[in-house]
Amino acid sequence: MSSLCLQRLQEERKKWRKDHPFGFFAKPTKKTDGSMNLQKWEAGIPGKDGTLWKEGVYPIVIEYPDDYPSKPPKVKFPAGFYHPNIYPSGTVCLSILNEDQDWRPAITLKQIVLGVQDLLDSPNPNSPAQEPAWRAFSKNIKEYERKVIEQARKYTK
Amino acid sequence: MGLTEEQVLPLFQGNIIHLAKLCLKYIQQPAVEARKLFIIKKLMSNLTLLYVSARDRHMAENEISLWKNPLDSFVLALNQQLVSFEMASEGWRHIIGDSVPYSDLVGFVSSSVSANLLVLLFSEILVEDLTKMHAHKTGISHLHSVFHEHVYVSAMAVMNFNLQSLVESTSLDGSVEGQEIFRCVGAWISYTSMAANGPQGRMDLSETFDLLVKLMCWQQADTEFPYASVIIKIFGDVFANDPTMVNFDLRCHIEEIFLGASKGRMTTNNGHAWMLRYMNHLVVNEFYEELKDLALCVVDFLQVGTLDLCNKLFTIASDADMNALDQYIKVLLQMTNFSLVPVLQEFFSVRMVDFWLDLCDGYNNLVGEIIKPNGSELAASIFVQVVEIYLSKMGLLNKQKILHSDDDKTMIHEFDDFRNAILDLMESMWSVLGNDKLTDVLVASIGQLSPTSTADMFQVEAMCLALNKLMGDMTISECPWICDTLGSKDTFLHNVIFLVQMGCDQKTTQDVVVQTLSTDFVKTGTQLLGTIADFFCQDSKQLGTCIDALFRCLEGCSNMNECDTKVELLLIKCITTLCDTCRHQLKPYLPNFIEVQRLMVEGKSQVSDFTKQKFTRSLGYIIQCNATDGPEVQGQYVLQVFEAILQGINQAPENRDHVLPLLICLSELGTALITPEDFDDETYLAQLPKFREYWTTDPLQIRVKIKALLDFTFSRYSRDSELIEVDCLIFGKALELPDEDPHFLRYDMHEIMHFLMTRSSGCEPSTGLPYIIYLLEKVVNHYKASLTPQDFDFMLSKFFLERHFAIVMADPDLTQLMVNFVNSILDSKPAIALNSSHFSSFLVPEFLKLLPAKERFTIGAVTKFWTKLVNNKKFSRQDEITTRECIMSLGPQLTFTTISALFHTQRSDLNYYADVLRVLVARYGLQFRQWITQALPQICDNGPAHQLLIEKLFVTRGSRAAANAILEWWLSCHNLPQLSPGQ
Repeated sequence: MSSLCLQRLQEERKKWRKDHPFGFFAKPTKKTDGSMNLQKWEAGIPGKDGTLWKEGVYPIVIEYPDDYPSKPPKVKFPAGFYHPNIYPSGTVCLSILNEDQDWRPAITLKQIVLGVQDLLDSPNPNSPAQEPAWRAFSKNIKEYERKVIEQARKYTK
Repeated sequence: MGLTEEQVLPLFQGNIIHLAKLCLKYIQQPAVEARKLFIIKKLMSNLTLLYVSARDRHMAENEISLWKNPLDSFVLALNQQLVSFEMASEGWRHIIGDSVPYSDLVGFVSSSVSANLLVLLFSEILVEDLTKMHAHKTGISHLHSVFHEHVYVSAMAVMNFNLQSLVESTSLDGSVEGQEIFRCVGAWISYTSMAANGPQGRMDLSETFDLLVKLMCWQQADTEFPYASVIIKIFGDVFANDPTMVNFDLRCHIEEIFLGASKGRMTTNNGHAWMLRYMNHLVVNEFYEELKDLALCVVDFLQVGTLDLCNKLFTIASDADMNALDQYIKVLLQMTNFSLVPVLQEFFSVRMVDFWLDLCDGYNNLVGEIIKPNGSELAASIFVQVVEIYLSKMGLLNKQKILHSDDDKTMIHEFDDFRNAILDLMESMWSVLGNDKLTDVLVASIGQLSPTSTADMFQVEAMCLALNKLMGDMTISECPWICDTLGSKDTFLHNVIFLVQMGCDQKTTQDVVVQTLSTDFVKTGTQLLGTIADFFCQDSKQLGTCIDALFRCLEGCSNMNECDTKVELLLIKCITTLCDTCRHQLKPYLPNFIEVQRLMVEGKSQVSDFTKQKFTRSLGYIIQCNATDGPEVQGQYVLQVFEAILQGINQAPENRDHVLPLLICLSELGTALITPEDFDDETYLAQLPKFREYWTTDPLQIRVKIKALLDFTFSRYSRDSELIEVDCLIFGKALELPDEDPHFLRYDMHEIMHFLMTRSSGCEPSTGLPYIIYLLEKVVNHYKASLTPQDFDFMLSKFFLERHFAIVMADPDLTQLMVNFVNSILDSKPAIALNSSHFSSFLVPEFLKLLPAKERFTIGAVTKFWTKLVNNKKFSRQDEITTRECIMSLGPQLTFTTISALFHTQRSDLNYYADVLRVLVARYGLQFRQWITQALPQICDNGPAHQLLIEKLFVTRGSRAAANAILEWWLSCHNLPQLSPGQ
């Protein structure tokens, strides 16, 4: 990991601890020797109130590459997560996380998790990443809603 | 900005004359002219912009380029009463270039309150605008050194003169001018922090900070602190963003004021008496916002020196006075234990979490050799006290107070966040304290309590919450000593269960506060029980009590409100975890489970569908491992569960919303009865052939009965896609298992095909067919060894080409479904597709037509088909011959259609088509050159690009680099520019 990456991740941790949106959590994982792994974080995204997602806090893993912040982190839900813009592997398809699209080195962890929270209830049907959720969202909204609610129960707050 | 040197000078002259006119009027009649202040501010901003233009490196040297200090120019203009161009015609060089001596400057600001205010205002606007510009404009760093050399000197003189006047004044100054001084100071702090990295070094604000500290502690009477809150906010920003702006000596002084103690030496408590009086003033008058600002400022200040404190406390490198350090820590602990309600009234404890976490991380990162001989005991003694303080602070008693005082949920969220932050701190402190001083103590403390009131339960809850966090990081099955601790006192589990029960008992109230706290009780209790589920595998004597209690709690749930629903969800999740983990230990309770499940699936049951389904799965876990008594007993249990479900459905078959969840229960039972991969029960393994035999013959006819039930529900709800989905899940449950694994839902191929055809003929294709085809793919995959081309023909006809053909070809989703189905055959056993009668009559011609599809998933599927057909590792020798013949005859058409589709598609879909071209180059190199040479001119007229593409395709020989060549060709043919780096 470059010193720039390390410095920025330490700064992100400090900022997050001091100011983060309610209901979210995020912290670096631990390596096998017990030391902190700043390049891999575990975080939780609460569903927004008033949406189908409200009952859950959805776990994600954020992995920062060595050349962060030049390159964006990779954000992953558990494999098989039900959402039109989440790949079957769990990787999030979001423009601010795409180096070729809207990623900027100034984007903070807070902005990323809020972006992911927004995505949950505002899927983009033009950028499908998995078939079952995309198909249901486009053609059978009732089924889509049922599955989202079921998933929310699985990850209940 | 793009101004030339010729433009800047007249603009400057016009602006400053107009500004001077307005300012002079304002100075004469401030009350009357006050409304023009916003124009004055705008003119000041304009002057700042002109100043930046004038200092542009690229501007040729002229009169305006000598302009170094706008503040001095402003004072000179006002002193000279500059209200017209003529008045300055001889003196512009003087206004632009001359400096104002300190005495004149001070004389001017002392001349009137309004003059002073205007100078402060301009000084503030100058630095604020420069700070804003710094973020957007490059190449202005050279300007900071000019600024440092000139404007900084004037501005400091004015600011410090004003601050000194306040220090020396004998009366309170709450005027507009007084407020302006602090705004100006704040703006200068932000600016100097931002401009600190230039070659000219940092602009020193020490004198200003000194004066601010004096003013902060300025007090007229015991109860008046006129400047404290605003200055604490200023220092709060400094310590949060750039603490080294304050020099070391002043930081030591501030430390003494804030804490009355110092890290390194005994102190004289200089100034701390003021701090105590100020805090008292805020507490007595309930100025909680100001108290919060003070907490933020103090803790940010403390965090500047955490590492230093860590080294002084714990390492041999330090020779600090230990008595002073003891005193210091004592003050910090007192501050953490601030005797008000966290979040609602005080923020010291909230912010100190971060401080202790830093200190703890600092200690954990120390290398063993440099830790003092008594370092670990010292660390333990400090953190034990921190644990005690926070266990009390995080208690729901405080949440109750917040709930009673505030309708807005913000504070509740903040308090919940505070609890989570404490849990992270606990996790970190565990590394210092270990099990003996933390985990074991928590277990023992929970066990020692004899809770009789809600207040007692708040304590239990806080400790359970902390314990849950610590236990979550452990693998209990590998920690026998933890199991010993958990099992050493029955009262521990008794109290945890009591916590859950109390939550469930209280939730029935209409009081929202009680409901919220009850949910927290249940949440903490059930989560802890789930986390320690492995403990029950080692020591199951209290498992029964625990499960009984959870059942009783569940019985009391009726989904009557949000709280009730939430509690039910928490309970069922806990039960499911316990059943999954302790399936062996729960075998004796199987009859009770079956009875509970029967009650749940009855029509009158009030539990949620989710609970019914999860409970059936839980029950299934126990049935699955109940192998000791042989398959007959297992069969009986499965039958009982099924009959309960059947009975439940028969109570209201017309109610689709009742039937569907019960069918899902059946599917859940099927899932639970799949033997886990790591299941190593020897009794079961010894009886495996018996189980296999039993479920093959199915003497109780369970499969037949299930099929009859599904046929019955289908007859009522044939077009309901959700029911079809569940039916397919049930029928396909055993298809992913190896043949040797026994399972009560193992239908044979004939039965499944019959089921699928019935569903297919009656369903609504656009919503129902996808589920049917998913299952059909599973069938193909499972039975591929025995499938023939005739079977494939049959499937393709029955599911796509006969009844549903028109809609399949019209609906891109269904088209894609069909292509994917064929692809799944090509992936598993291509020969059956290649030798089918539909291959040349339907698949090849129709799938060729589908290549120019518009919909991404269809493009993905159909290009995959052609890629798999051209190049497939599963091909036998005969398959190779068949496909070669096909591609050789079809090559020109396939190449043309692919390139034509590629040409017309959007950029993001190019790679799909590129994959087809790549395999054609790789597998049919010789022929492909001819095919593509013929095809390209028919697509568009761009000879050089076509030639380049052909050359590049053959150089790259089907590698991934070919995709770049295709992209270049596509861009060139569409007259689009290359935007990728290096192009």
